[in-house]
Amino acid sequence: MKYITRIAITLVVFLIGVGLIPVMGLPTQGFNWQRYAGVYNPATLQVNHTVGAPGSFFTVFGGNFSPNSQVSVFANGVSLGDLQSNDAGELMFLINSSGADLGYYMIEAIGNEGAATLIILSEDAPVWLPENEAIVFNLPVGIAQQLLFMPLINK
Amino acid sequence: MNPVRFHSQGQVSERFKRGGDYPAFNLGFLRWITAANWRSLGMFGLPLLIYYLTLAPTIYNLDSAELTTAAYTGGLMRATGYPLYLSLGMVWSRLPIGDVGFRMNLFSAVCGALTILIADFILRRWKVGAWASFGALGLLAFSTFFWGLSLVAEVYTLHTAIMAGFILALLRWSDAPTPRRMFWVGLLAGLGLSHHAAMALLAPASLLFVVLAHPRRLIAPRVMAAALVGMAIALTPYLYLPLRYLAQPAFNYAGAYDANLNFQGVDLTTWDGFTWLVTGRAFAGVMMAYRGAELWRETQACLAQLGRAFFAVGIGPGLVGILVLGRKNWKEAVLLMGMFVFSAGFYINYRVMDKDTMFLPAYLIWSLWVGLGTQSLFDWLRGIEADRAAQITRRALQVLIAASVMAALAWNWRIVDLSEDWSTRQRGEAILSQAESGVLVFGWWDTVPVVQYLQLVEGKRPDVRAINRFLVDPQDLAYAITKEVKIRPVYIDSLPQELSSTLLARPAGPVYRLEYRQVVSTPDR
Repeated sequence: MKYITRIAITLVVFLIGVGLIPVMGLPTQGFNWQRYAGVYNPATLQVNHTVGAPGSFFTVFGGNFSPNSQVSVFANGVSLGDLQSNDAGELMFLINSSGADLGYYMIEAIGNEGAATLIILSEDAPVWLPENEAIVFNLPVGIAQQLLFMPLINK
Repeated sequence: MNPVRFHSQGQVSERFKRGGDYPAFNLGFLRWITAANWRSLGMFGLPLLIYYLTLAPTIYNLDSAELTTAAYTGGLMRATGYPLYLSLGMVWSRLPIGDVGFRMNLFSAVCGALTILIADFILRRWKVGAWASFGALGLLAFSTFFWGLSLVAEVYTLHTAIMAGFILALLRWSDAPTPRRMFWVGLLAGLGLSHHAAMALLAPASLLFVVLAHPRRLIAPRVMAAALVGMAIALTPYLYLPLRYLAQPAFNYAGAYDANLNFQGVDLTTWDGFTWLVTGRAFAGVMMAYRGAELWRETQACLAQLGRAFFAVGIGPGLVGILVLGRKNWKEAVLLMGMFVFSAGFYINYRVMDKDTMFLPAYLIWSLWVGLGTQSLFDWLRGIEADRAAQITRRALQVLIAASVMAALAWNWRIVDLSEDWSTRQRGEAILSQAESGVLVFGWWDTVPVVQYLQLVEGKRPDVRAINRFLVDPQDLAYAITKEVKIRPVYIDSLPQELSSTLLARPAGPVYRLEYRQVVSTPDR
C-alpha cells in the first residue's frame, strides 16, 4: 500500500503540470526578431462605423499590439473586459450598443501599449448589424459622454 | 624540459597515488583532466551540440546586430553599457570561424552550455544524481527562450553563466568560509556587475545569505579584503567605457543626435556620464511600471511562461524542490527564493516589449529546484521496501525524465531553430544594394544596426549614413528629415505620422524612399 501511494504521489507531482497545459498552453513562439521589429509602430484602433443608432454593433480592429498579449477594453474609462491579441499583434472585437445611452464613447484598448477610437450613438444614424464574428462587449448604461459645443464669438 | 608526458589514465592515477613528481600546476591540470567525467562532458557538450546545430548562421537582428557591431569595433552600447561583454566579444569575435555575426552567436551558445555545466555543479553539491540533473537542466537548456537566446548574440546567457558561478561560489563559501572562497564570491559578483546591471537584483538575497551563513567570519579582515580585492579586479572591465569613449569609436550608441544630425556622445570620462550609462537611468520610466490589476496580469503571464518554459512537467518537481531545500537548508532556500523573487519581480514590473526574454535568471533558479525536487522523489522511492518494485518505478521515472527532455527538445526545435535564418543579412544587404551614393537611412533596431554591421564590420558602403531613430528626438528627427530630403536621398523604415501630409514614402525594398508631396519650406529653427 505504501509502495502504491508513493508511486502515485510521484506520478502526480510529475504530471500535475501536464494538467495545466489547457490553461497555460505549450510553447508556440521562440525568440525571433520579426516578433519585436514592429514594436515602435504605435498601436492602432479603428472602427467600421463611427456613428450608429443604439442597438448597433460596431466592429473594432486593433493593430501593432504585442503579439499574444492580453488587452483590456474600456468605454469612457469603464472596463468592458479583456481579450487576447493574435500572433501578429492584431485584435478584433464587437461593441454592442443595445440599451446604451445616446452620446459619445471613447473606446480604449490597453495592453502593453494603448490605442483609442471614438463611436457615437445618435438617433438619426442607421442601426448597424454585426458584420464580423468576434468577442462582444456590451456598452453599459449611464456612461455616455455628451459634448457641449460652445458658441464661437468673433470680436 | 616540459615535465608533462602522456600516460594512460592508469599510469597517471598511479603517479597521483605515489604523491607524484610533477610541479603543482601540472598536477592540478592533470587532476582536472582525470576528474572530468562523462556527466560534465554531457552537461556541456550536449547543449552546445544542439545549439551549434540550430545556431543563427550569420548576423542576427535587433540587439544582436548592435552587440556584435559594438563588440567587434570596440564600440559603445546604450545603457547599461555591457563592458564585460564588449571586452570579451572584442577578443572572441577574432576567432577564425564563420563571419563575425556567427562568432558572436557562438559565444552565446558557449555561455549557455557553460550555464548548464555550472548549474550541474551546484546540483552535484546537493547530491542530485545524474538523472535528476539531466531532467532539470535538460528542460532548462531546451526551453524556448534559454535555447533561443543561446543562438544569437545576446547578453543573457553570459549573465546566467556568471550567475550560476556566483551561486556556486556562495554555496562553497558557506561550506568552508575561507578568504580564498570569498575572493571568488567577490570576483563573480564584480564580473556580473561588469556585465549586466541585473546582477544587482541578486544582491539582497546574497548579502543576507553571507550574513546568515557565517556572520563572524564575514567581518574577519582577511575575508572582507578577499571579497573587495576580487570585486575590484572584476570591475576593471568598466574601464572599457571611458577608454573607448576617448578613442571616439565609429559605433557609439551612448548619446544622441541633435536636429542637425550631429552626434552628441555622453562623456563617459565624467562621473555623471558614466553613471547615466551604467545605471540605465534612461530606462527608469519603464521600471516599476504596473499597478494593481495590471501587475497581477503580468504576474500571471510570467508564471504561465515559466510553466511553458519547463514544458509543464517541471512545475511539480520545482515546487517540491522549494520545499525540500527549505527543510534541508533554510539559508540556502532563502538565497534562491530571494534571487528568484527579486529577479522575476523586477522584470514582471518592467514595461518593455521584449520582457519575455528577460526571465532566464528566474528559469535558472527554477531548474535548480526542479533538480532537487526530482532527486528527492528518487530518494523517496528508494525507501520502499519492495526493492524490485522500487527499481522498476525508478526506471520508469528515468524513462519519464528522458521522454520529457526529448519531448521539449523535439517540440521546441522547430520553434527556435535559426540555422537557416539569413533574413537579417538579406535585409541589410537589400537596403544597401538599392541605396544611391551618399544616402541617409533612418530606422529602428531592425533596420539600422544591421546596416552599420555591414558597413563597420564588413566594410560595405561607407558612403551610406545610417542613424538609429532611438538616438534622435522625434521632433529633431522630423526637422532633420524635412531638411535632408532636399539635399540627398533619404530612406526610412516607417514614416513618422507628423510628416505624412508633407512627405510621400515610396516602397524601396524593405524600407521607404522619402520625397516631398509638394514644395514646402523647411520649418524655422
